[in-house]
Amino acid sequence: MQRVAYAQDKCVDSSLLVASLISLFEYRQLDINQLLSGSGIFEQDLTKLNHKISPIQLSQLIDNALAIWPGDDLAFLLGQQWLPSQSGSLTNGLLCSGNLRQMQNFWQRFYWLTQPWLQGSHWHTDKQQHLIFQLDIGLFRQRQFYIELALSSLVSSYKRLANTPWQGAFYLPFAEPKHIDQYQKYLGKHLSFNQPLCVLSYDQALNDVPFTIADQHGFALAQRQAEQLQQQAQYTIGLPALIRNMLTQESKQQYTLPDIADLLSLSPATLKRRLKPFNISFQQLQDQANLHNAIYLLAVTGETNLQVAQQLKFADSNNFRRSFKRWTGLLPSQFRCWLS
Amino acid sequence: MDKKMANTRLYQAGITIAVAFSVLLSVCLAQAQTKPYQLIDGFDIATEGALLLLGLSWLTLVLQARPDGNVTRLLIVGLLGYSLGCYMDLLDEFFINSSLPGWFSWLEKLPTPIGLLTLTLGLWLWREEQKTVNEQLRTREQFFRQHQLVDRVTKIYDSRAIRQQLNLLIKREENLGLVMLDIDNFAKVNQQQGFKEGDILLTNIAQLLASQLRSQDLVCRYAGDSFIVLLPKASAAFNQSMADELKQAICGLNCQASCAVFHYQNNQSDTKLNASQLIAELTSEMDKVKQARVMSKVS
Repeated sequence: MQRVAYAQDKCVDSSLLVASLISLFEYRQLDINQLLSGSGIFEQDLTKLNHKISPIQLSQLIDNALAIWPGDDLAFLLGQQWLPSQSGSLTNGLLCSGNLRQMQNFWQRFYWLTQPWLQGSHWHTDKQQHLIFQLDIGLFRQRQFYIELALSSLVSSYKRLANTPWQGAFYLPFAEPKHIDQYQKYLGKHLSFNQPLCVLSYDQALNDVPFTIADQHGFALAQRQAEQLQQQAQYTIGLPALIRNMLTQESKQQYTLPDIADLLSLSPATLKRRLKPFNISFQQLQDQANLHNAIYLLAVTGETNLQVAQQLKFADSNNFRRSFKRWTGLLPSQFRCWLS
Repeated sequence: MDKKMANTRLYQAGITIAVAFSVLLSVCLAQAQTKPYQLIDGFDIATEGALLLLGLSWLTLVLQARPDGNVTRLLIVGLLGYSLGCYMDLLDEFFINSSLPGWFSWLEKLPTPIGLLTLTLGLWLWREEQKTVNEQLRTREQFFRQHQLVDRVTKIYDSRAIRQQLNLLIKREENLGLVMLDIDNFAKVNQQQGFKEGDILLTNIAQLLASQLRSQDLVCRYAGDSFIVLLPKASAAFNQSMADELKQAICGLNCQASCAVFHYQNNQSDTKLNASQLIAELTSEMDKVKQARVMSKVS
């Protein structure tokens, strides 16, 4: 059973993103007190081993950071030095990976230990691998920041480990930002904005490019350590990701709000209230999960509208089309070739 | 040296005179009869008070914004004189003029014209000074000054400014050369030596590039460790040699740069490109350069 973290639970290791953020602000001689104000984090906390903060504290910190930081490259700078600034078995595993496939599988299993703000999943089509990024404990209004951070850290880690430039396409779920140049510089030119999901697609061939400092023994060791860490961890998933997972799981069982509340031993009203600090509602999660499923069926397995409608338990394909239009503003047929 | 000392003394004398003058006049007025309450005009007091406050606020702005120097001193003395005049006018409202000696009203009128004359002289010299500064900043701003577009780290323009300038040049149908310089392994500098060193390196490169260019060129920080140099009215051959020269110059700072060049023949092409398309061409050129570098490393 997953151990679920709510908004006030201390589940984010502050020696990671928080520490990098503070040291970056120190370098630029920006006001650290202003950065930490209202977050309930103190500078001396960061010297403590295993100090953790809650999703609420994290969101306040990110809000402050984005307000104070001059310029629009904060997430990209943090992403650039994400891999070297981390430590522990997760990073060792990534550093020792033999190739992108191994690294990616390792990351998918253990990312929550260091990046609990994300929910990652993956699909693959004939020639391409697709990584999908959604938010777990990260707030919806800070989505762009987390996505920039995740994508730029992945790209720069790949560059570092494979020693070749990154080649892949990015589908981003927001409008083209003003600082498009930062995207082109750090991510490359294959960018499409205003997409329904955040997806990173690359050729399967990229999976097998050997990494320069691969170390199978080191990798195996790191994997054992990470497994142990995961078993001991107090929390293993955030509430939004847990609910989304239940709704997306190739629906053998159809969960509803009362079912999920029951599984968590909460009343439906309490569950709704617990979601509020994450800046998301149950209905939104339901829509996201349905959209996720629908796009998978349309673009990856290539099913017809009618089949998709049946699998997602819509009354008929018209109903499905209408809902799909509401989620994305576009018709299902336009997504048939989306990822190719 | 002597001249500078003399200037400083003159400046101090100017300020002392102004302050002494205001004290003297205030003391004189203290002996004058005050106006009866009914005759005091609230509206006049408000307008003249506002003028005084405005004068003083200009004074503080000049003190904050400008480095010390002859022009600044002239401006300060001028504004001080003007503010003093306003102060006298304001005091007038409270006292009966006829109760003072005749020379007084004459004396009281002096500060305003003297102040305004000094201010005008100061502004004239400011204009001269600005021309020189503009020349110094030519390769950094090209006659278009908008401080919001300046990059915080390197103090040169960011990519928004170069788009603006590019669109302008495209409209004028000039041939242009674009050079993009990308520092190799810059992320490593940040990782190994810290962001402080990384920022210093970026600033040095920006300075270096700005100093190497012709007076009509413009350099900006594109993003991260990428810089774009805009060369108006340049031939393809000139672009290439300029690019090589800049690349060489950067080697002097103990780092290597990749360099992409794009030459745009403005009048020959039927379809006009806009700034974003030009920059996209340049970045894809840069991708090719980087790919080629990887290939050569492998073989």
